Amino acid sequence: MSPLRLKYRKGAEVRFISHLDTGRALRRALNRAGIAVAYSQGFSPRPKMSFGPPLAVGHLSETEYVDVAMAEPLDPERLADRLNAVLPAGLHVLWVGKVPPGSPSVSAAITELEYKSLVPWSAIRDGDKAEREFQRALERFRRVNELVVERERKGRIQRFDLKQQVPMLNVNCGPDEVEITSRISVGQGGFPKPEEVLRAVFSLDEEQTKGVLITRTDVGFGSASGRAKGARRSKYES
Amino acid sequence: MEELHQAIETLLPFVSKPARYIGNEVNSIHKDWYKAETKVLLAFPDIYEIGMSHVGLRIIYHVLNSEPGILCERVFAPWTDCDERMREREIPLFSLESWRPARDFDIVGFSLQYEMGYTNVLNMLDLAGIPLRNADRPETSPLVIAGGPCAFNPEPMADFIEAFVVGDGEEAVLEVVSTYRLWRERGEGRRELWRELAKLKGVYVPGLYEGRYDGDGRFQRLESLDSGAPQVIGKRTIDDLDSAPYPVAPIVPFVEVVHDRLAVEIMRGCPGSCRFCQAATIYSPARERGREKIQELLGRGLEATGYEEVSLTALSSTDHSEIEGIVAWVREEFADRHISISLPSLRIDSFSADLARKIAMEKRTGLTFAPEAGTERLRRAVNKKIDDADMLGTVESLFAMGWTAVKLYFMVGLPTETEEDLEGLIQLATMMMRLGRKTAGARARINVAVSAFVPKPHTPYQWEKMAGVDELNEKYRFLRSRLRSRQISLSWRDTDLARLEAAFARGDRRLGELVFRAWRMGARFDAWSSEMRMDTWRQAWAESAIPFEFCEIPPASPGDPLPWQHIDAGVAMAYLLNQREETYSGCAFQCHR
Repeated sequence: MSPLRLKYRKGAEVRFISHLDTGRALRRALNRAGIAVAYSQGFSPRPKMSFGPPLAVGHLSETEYVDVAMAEPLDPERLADRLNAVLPAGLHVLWVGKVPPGSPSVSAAITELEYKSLVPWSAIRDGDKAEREFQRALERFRRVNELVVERERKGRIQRFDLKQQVPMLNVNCGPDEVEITSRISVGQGGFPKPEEVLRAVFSLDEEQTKGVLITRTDVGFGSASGRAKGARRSKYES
Repeated sequence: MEELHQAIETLLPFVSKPARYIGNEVNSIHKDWYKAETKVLLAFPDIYEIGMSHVGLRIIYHVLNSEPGILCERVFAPWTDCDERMREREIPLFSLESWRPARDFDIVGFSLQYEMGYTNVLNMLDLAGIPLRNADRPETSPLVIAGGPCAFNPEPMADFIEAFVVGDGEEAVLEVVSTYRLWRERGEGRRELWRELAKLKGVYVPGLYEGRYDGDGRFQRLESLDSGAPQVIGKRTIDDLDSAPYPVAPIVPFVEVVHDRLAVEIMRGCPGSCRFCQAATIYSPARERGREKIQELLGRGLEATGYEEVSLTALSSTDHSEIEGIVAWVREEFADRHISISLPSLRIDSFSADLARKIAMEKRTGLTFAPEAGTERLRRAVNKKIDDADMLGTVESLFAMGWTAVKLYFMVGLPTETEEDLEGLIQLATMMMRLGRKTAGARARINVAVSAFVPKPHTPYQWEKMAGVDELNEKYRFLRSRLRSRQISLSWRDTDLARLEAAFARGDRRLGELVFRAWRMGARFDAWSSEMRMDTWRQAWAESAIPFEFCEIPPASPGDPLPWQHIDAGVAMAYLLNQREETYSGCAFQCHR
């Protein structure tokens, strides 16, 4: 049976739970709702669920995806209602649709992520990052050919060229905060975090980026076949 | 309120595992603060992942929140990074459910599961802005109470806890709350509250007593300062578990806690009577929850939580008279839901092996057993009734069924132990490894976990001397040198930690000074080997007036006064003495169950 694709929101109430925590919460909600999920075969059977690109601890999202294989046919419309009745506050299913047979998994299908980062002026020490500096930093970024960020993970160094992986970056300064929108492409080796963009491009430090409220606002599906039938068209698709 | 919420929101991005502090889990209970008559905060002096794995805390949370007039919330010890940031930003200890300051509650109740959590109790009180010592708390401060196994020798914490609930807390905790409410309505002083609490069965109010010591500094007796303070405090016992309250919709944590599953307590107390075991006496008598009730709790619990695993908890799960039937029922009832079953404590016998086979249809990785001692002789002496042949046969059949690893718990330093017993331990582990090799080959693993025997109050060994650090370390080196196979791993519980635990297990109220000094010097999370600093404790000990060897000197004779003798755990002194006698006389099979 082809899996169902769920789109859900992760709100402020649960922004501090991890990607794995979220998976467990969804799985247990499915159990509470009495929805029979298909299990893998073998030594230790696991529910067949596959998630989109991980969302970092602390981030909000308007647009998370998970594919769930069902053990029995189910009306997608009713699934959303049943789940929403038992999900913890902050997790809310927005949409359920069928995944056409043969489409890539949701993690492979999603190729772009759009983030909105709100940098409160109060999080920036000494007020030394005035409006103008944000604009200048952005202009500098647009001029350079390469801007590489490095991340160390388990003794291995990962490198991302932001010029390659950040196709869109905008700044909008308001009275209380700076709103930065970024579009990040998911590559073979993963993707840079919006915080890494803020640090590399706008010279914020580690502490300052912790005061930034980051929301994943949209995702882009790489090809039409990866997009679930009936899914709201992402604005990156034409 | 708004301000504190804002401060916590901005704190959380800076701490590790922030989900520990957010609350809002499925089935957590959020009551209207302004409509509650009495507000109770349950405090667990360790991190969320450990506290939320504790069934007792969940029971009391359920009991209190089931009362319309009572609001009950939770708090756990913030990890060191969060602690630092909270102090930096002047954020007080706050509850999970409503993010309110701990000091705004009427009652703060600590769960004392192990002695090495004592500095965390002080640290949490300090973070809350509640004066540490009972004597220093103003009328406006919350009442600080505690329960759990440590209440059976409450003396080391006597300066900091105003009332201890001794034994089963389900009923007593409600009596404490209503006593508090009536006292507040009357508008009397704090000492009146203490006097009223002392009238409740199973409630010990240390502030109504004073310690007396002889010229050498040995404990003599507790003297009551108040005519209403009883000489002996008997433990509370729930007779019938079927009618006892138990959560039907337990909280489902977001973060993965140590025991991340639906726990249903199937039995309280233990039918065995191992002489070193404190749980065997303080939770006595052994009481079963009936099969029907257990099945109801499993069914409703799974529906309300969506858990994929259930745990049938008891000190010895296989001793429940209907365990086979219950296991079979779970397998059948939830056949399509992929529910796995865990039994936390198995005997090493063919019955358990058979049961293990039935519960683990899929995963067969590791099983844990506790032979405790290396030879049949020593096991008989401590009244742990399993023989070598039965044990080896069980392990052989487990390996044959597909298991690949066996974990074995042993104690070193038990009364009457000789080198022969250590040799026995080595032989047992080696023989089991060979049995494993026959079927599991190179994958077979024997994990041997050794800890020092710590004499505990209310056991036949409460008068025993604790083995010294050098002696214990030497025994460990001996085991290490002889268990060389790559398929046998040996782990050793820190000797210093065990010795401190021993001091607090049997110490009197003068140890409160030591807890205080160590805390002030930075001791926190002492049950965590990564955090415990023996140097801090040594220094704290050197600066307090208590001689360091204090913990190692047992009472000279069984007639001598014991610091916990005012607590009645329900076992007669004559029984304990007789059991101790039998350890040394070798006639071990006269024990009664």
